[in-house]
Amino acid sequence: MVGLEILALAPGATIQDVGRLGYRRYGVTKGGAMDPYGLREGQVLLGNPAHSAALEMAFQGGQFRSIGNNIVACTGAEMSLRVNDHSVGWRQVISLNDGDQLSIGACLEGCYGYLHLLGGIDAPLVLGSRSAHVQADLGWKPNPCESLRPLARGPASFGEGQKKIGYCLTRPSYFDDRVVRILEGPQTHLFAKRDVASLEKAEWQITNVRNRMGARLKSSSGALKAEWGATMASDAIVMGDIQVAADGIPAVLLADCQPIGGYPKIATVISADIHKLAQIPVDMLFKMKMVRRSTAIKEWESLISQMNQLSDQRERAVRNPKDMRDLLKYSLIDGVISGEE
Amino acid sequence: MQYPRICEAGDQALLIEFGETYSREVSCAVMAFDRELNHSQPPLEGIVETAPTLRSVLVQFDSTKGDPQHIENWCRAALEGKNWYSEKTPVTGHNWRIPVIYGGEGGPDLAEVASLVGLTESQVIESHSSAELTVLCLGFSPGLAYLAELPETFAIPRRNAYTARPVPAGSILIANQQTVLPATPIQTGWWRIGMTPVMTFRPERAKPFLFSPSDRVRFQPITESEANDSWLDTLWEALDHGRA
Repeated sequence: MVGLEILALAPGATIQDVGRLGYRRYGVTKGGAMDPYGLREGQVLLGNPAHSAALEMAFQGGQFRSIGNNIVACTGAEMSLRVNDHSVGWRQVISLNDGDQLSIGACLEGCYGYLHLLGGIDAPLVLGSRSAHVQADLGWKPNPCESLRPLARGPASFGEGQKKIGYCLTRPSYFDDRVVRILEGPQTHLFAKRDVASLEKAEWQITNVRNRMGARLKSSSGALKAEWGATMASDAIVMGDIQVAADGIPAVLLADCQPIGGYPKIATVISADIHKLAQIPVDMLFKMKMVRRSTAIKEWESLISQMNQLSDQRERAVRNPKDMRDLLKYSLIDGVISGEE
Repeated sequence: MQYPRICEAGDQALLIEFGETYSREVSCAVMAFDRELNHSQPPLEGIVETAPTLRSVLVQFDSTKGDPQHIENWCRAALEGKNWYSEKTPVTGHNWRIPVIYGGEGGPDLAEVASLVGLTESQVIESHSSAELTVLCLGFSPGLAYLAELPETFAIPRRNAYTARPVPAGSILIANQQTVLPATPIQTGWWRIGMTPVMTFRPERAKPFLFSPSDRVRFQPITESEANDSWLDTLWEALDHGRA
């Protein structure tokens, strides 16, 4: 058996893949990684399939002990990362020997980081996905004393994984972006023009009332008011909707949102910017910008194409020899690592 | 506002609204349109999933897999093609008879509901279990079904407050001439008049949800001693074999 024993884990960590489609009509929304780009980075680095699962860590990581030899990578929002006493690179394939301790600390930027194992993390498939869904209470939220296991893999795939050690990806620029683009929606007209205009005028922050279901926002311009009041017939919610509750506080609905809700929506974050918004730390100022729907659709296509091209950007880390404590692990001498299965 | 209308719900979905609020006509139109969309030949490229609500149909697509304009054009032509409000809900869903233990521990509000609507408890049971209900949509929580339409007697508002503790899966809840049947524990302001031993959401099964939108449901009063497992498996096997 190989894998990572969880010694400590910050709250909010869940197993995530790309989510589940086809169950909304039964009351379950797609869910899946809060930052699908960050999830994809790790899949590309390790050569894991696009439906493979990783550990999503919110704001903080955890402590893990390697059981046997493992090949892992951390992606998404960068957190401080050490193997035993050595700092290691984020977005880089690293190898762990039996007993090595992997320490993932607080976020250095962003909010959601991903820990991947070669082959993907084994977790129960529920409704065709390994994603934990907070609102629907599905899937696996790991706890200390449990272990993360890779899906069954043969010696051949472990050998393939070894060749990837040191592969890395560059940091994507969306962590520097302070503009979230939005669209008008079916209920935008229920709000005063002044309130709709304030979306673009004000500087916004995400409050600490946030989780996988959604995030409450605040701005200097105060509460918003739907002219229709707070009660309208329940209707479908899509990810990115900015709903305004009775108290006038807007909230962005995210991966694990409910399928239907009764609050009016003032606008909707474009699909290409939802992961960017999810990664915005509490109290960081950002702006919202109304765009045309055709722009939003083009941006979505561009994001998908960037994700599809990630593997072309994978490169061998240029490593400082003084950091190469694991020199012997490189295939300078064949057979130092035995395939353990 | 003119209905039906096509709204843009973000950049990867359309919301086809058939009315401002729920009504029987609106809901029938919703179910008929959802069915037509899912049975269009050839299938519409790019559609990821559709979901009916009490007054609209959400059409989610992926614009990298199909042209959103083509999907919108199809919807517009379909809406203009006929009067959706004259649709009677097509009877192609499953027909379920769901056993319910009315009153007792699983239906603590039965007496209060009876006095609220001016019937005896057994008249409430008789009336509730003789109505043929339609699954309008599922939502709020996984597998939670909205069923309508109960006789006008049951046009009662919800309770003033939510339950302190979640009510269990299988609770038979009523208000507003509707019944709600949750498949997971939920907090609710609806009146709780009974309990079914049938689990309507079994995540381990290939078809994990017993109900689909536009299924028909009739409740059958049973006693506690009749609530054994053989009911449950018969129902789920019927789903697997399309015999319900």
